Amino acid sequence: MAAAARWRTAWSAALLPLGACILIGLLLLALATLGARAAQDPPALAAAAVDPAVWSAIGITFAAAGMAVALLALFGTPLAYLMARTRSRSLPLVEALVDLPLVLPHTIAGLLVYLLFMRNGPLGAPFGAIGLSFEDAFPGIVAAMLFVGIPYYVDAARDGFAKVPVELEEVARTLGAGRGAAFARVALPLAARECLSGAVTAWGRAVGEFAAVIMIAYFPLVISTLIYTRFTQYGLSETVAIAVVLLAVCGTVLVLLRRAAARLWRPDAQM
Amino acid sequence: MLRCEGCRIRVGEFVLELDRLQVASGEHCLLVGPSGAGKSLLLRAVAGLVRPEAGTVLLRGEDARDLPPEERGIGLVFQHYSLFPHLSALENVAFGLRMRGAGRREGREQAEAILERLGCVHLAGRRPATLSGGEQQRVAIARALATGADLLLLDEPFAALDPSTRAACRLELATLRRDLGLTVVEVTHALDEAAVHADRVVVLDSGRIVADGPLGALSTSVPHLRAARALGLENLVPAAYVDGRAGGWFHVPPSLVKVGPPGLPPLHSSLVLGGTVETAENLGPVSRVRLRLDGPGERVGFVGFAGPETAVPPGSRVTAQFSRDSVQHLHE
Repeated sequence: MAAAARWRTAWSAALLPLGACILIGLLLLALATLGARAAQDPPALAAAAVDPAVWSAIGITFAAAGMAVALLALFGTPLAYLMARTRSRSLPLVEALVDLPLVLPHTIAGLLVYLLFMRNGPLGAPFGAIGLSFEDAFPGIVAAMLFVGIPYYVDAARDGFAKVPVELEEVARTLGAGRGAAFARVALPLAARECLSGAVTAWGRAVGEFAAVIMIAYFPLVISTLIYTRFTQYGLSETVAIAVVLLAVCGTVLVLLRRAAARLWRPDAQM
Repeated sequence: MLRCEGCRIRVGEFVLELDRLQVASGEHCLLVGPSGAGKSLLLRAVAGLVRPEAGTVLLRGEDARDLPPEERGIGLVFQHYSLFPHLSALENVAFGLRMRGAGRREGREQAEAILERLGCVHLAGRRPATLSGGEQQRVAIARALATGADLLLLDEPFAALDPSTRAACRLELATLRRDLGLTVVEVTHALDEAAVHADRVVVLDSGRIVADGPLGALSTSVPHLRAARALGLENLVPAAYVDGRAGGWFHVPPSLVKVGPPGLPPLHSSLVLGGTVETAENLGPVSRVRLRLDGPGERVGFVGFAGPETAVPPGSRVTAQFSRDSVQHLHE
């Protein structure tokens, strides 16, 4: 019996690290395979590293993703706060609506964005009247990235606000803070960690977006569109080289953003 | 200071109805009652965090029904203090001052002064997570008072503290109240401890005030069983146990019950009930005895005090004797 119990304990102790290692191993294997493939053609890698088209695509992608996340933070933060604080029967409907881009094929997300923002679309037409065009234009890329990023940001921010006890805001009110000040001085700083985490995830999602973007704006080329065109025109070797450059840049930015998020306030932090 | 008349406050299915509640300036009023009676909701309504559907709320003689919380001049302290965890103790205390227009330096100086007043200026730079329960409680009260609030609403602020810290904090609060002329409305379940420094008790049950008055008077003159239960009074006995009547209940204050050996002849105008000792707590010169009464119905507990001459081991037969004058009839 004792031997069986020891065996069960050892097996349970090994199971957790084993489960964790499988996914990490999968990711590392994918990176190693890409690296090995790129190493077979160093000139292509060198060419990709200095290719102005690649850096232009990276610049456009990062700028559009940054703008999409900024807009998400601007409009998504109040939505997330209200979702966290509201006890309404219609809340599940709102939650389902927010999560809709998660379950839609991204081509359909792109189709919805296109229908909304095309020249004679319900939003595209009025914006067009003030000179803002979305079809095959930078704003179209931002719109597509914004659309697919909604659940990533709003869900994370809502979880952050839900963790802030409502009593803290009530005390702030009795101390002289209006609703806005109680939100800005108490709820927002305490949910900032989750908001930033959601912003990083939404940014990552936006940078990697392809299907939704090409439905409304094939040009200017974002990095995912560039890789697709190079793959169809020149084959695997050049695509691998661009992928390595993109991985290096995105990986660095992602690590920096995650470290910034981790440095934000924690409830158990000591001064 | 505070007057509520004909107030109806609804949260979901629960309705709190206050026919009349008045708290005088400088008074320390306790709100007691079972969980779910509406005590905390009453505090939230006074703080302006919940708006009454109907009725009048007067603060300092002025209609406060539409006054937002930030303009009510009240301090609110919850059971878990609700200190802002991302701010230091000093920043917590300065929060209200800054919200009311004080500059950064002015706010810090005033916050330091009030922390000094409460003897916790040494905690100024520390975050709430690093403070003990008693320290957090002091900082929370300092924060509530920093804005010059003259009405303090306390929602079980001492419940999470150990007994000695609780007693010290209660004493400090009583001193502050006296020195600053504060009015205090406190929700508590520890009636015995809180009553030492309080002037009045308001008993709530199922969203209504069922008794209101000085504690001494209430404990010997509760109007009905519901109020007595909400007040947590002991020795509530069906009338059948005392005089054989079928209906009604009686209350006898435990301090007026003498526990003695079985077969004790009743003194003049006294009542004697027989019972079996369940527990006995030695308090030095006397023992506090909990016994099970002999009687016609279900098991009824009874509490009294036995002198050193009476042996009260659990399971022993005893009598509980008390004056007829100390028996109070309660309406159901």
